[in-house]
Amino acid sequence: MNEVEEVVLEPASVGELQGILRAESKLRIEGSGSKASWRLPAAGEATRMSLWKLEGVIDFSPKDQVVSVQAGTRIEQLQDVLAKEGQCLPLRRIPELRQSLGTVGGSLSMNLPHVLEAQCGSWRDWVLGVSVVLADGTAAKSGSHAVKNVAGYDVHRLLVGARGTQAVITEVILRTFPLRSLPQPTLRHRGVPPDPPEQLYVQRTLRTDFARACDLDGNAGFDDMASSTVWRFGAVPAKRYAGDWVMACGSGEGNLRLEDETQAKLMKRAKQIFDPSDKLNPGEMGTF
Amino acid sequence: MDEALLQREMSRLVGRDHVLAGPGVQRAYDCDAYTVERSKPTCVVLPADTAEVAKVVRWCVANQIPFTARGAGTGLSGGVLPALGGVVVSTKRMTSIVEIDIENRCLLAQAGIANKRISDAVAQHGLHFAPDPSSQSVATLGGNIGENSGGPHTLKYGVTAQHVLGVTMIDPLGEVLTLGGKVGGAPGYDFLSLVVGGEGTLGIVTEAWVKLTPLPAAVATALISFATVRDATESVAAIIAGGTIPAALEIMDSGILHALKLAFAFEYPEGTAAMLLVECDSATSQEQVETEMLAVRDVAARFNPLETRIAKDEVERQRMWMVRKKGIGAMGRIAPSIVTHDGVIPRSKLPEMLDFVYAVAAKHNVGVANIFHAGDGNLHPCFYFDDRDPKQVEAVVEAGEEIIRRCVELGGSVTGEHGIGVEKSDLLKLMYTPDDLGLQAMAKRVFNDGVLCNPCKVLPNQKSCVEHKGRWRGVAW
Repeated sequence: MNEVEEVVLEPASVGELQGILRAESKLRIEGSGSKASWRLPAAGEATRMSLWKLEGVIDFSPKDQVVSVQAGTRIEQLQDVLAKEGQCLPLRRIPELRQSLGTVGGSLSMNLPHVLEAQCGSWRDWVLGVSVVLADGTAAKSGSHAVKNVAGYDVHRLLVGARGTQAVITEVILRTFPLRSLPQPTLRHRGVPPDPPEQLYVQRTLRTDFARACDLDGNAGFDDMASSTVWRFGAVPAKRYAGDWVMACGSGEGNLRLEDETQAKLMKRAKQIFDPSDKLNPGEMGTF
Repeated sequence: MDEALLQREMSRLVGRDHVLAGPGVQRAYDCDAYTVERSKPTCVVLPADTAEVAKVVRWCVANQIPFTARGAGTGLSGGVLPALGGVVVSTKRMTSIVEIDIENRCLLAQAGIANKRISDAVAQHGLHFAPDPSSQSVATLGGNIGENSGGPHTLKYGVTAQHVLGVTMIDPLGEVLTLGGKVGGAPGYDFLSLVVGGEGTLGIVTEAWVKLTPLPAAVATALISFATVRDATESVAAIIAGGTIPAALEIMDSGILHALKLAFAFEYPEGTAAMLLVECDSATSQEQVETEMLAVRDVAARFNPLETRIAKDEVERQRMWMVRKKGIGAMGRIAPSIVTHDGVIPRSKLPEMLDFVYAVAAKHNVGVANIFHAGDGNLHPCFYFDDRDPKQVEAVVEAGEEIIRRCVELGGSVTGEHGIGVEKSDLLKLMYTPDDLGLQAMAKRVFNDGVLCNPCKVLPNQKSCVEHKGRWRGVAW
């Protein structure tokens, strides 16, 4: 049987990536593809581009607890490098999900909830700087190697959770954590997860609503009391709580719903400025 | 616009008693704690709440009058300097706590509340607001948000950005926006990360939900004296490399210690060139604190300490912190003017950087004292001089720029917590290329595409600002 192989662009340098961005009109960007089931389907035709060839640790200074890596570097690979010096990124693989941690750029862009978030923060707290290529092919950077820095607008933190819709991240500077004093997650497991897991949702609530959110249904999953977050194997819950939010996996267009109107309006304005021709990950945010 | 007309219009919006004008007011509001550059406002308004701020901003937009938000004026980079005149929007009447939610560990307050009042209000519940800039007894929440303020405990607890859950703000066109909320980490673009640290250029924050952090269950504080600055700085990198992250790790050099002696009769061992203030704390146990402090002392012991003093009780601990927090203020005993700089380097570079700071001061023949957040590599060289002498001012400005340039060369930043303001907008070019700055300008444009909301701050070479720069430096003397 003859299958038509899908074209996947795989830039191996920033220069190649710039060339692609200047030439292409719509791109569906991925790292290792580990979080594909969390994403929204592309809106219309888009050429796939994988950043896996932009990989490797650029510089690690254990004394300063700062590391810079190329965006396509696998997190597991980065953890190995850091562990040799007694350090780490406080991200743990969640066995129930049967997903690898993926790449640095992909994980930062998706900013999925994780199990040490209350104790160690998340990507917005770890990222000290990024290098990017903008939709028009311009290379630029934000931030620095300093662990504390208020020089200008923190664009590198705006990119966290932006799902690759503003710019293509090529390099990330991160603070690292001593393994020795890394806290343990405080998870409570419920039932046996389905194998393979199909649908999953994550719901974060106020502490005062957490107990009720945990006891909602009989689905298997796990809860993190420290961050009032519930992971459940099943479709997105109907029951919602004041100020809560939900993110899903395996629910197609239901994976991400942005419910706040102000937020949606500002996001459209930002998208218009960063990527006016809607080149980067079209459809990824639902509203664009 | 005519001064009297502007006053009348503002009085109509916020009440006559809440509009300040006249030469005395203009002089008082022409700068913040960075006094080298000044520019007078036409008038100062003191709105009561979000709705009144919105009215003022809308009026300013309709009449093309620049407006600049101001808290306590403790900023150190000219962030609230009314660069093109116009209206200063002071939050000094907006000091209420709107809601305290102990169970969910958060609190909603108006932007003008003093930082420390938040912690005081929830201390009985064993909670506090973690960012603790040295000016916290007066510095406002709104100002902390604008500057993304740090403080000594940043090392362990993070800066303001890590403790703000949501804000209500007036955007530069006068619209009320609410970003974030009591539940953090929601999906979508993280605009809060731009507004915190946006230096008041993206709008005026009027209220904020902040995170409340449990007070540590146990704490130990120590002062460790060294005979050389090198011994002190080398011990800092060694302590952290050893895997201990203290709650705070601060340095004071002999210049600061001398001022503290004059101001507060603070005693320290003779021959001390630099002193570390180390604090270890734990959410769970005294034992953990003692283990950490022991680890710190073991490392420090390798660098020939003259004395290690551990606070016996809370009174002594508070006194140790008092001298740290009043260190810059005490410099007033030594000289009529001080300029406190702010730069960051990777902490492993501290020893060579401090050598450089002293050498630069000697070269320019100006006095320098150092008091800073050593654990973060966040320097605060404090120049003392007489600002009535233009030659000294010039020397101080040049020495400061030389130090900041070196910070960038060492892989650091031109500012760790004081902000860019007007002071450092040109220095941003040391860190960023025109394309990098273009990226920042894109982020700014999401909120502010005009020239009225806190103009001429952060980004260099803004339209209609360049020709005013000379004036800001000129009006002070």
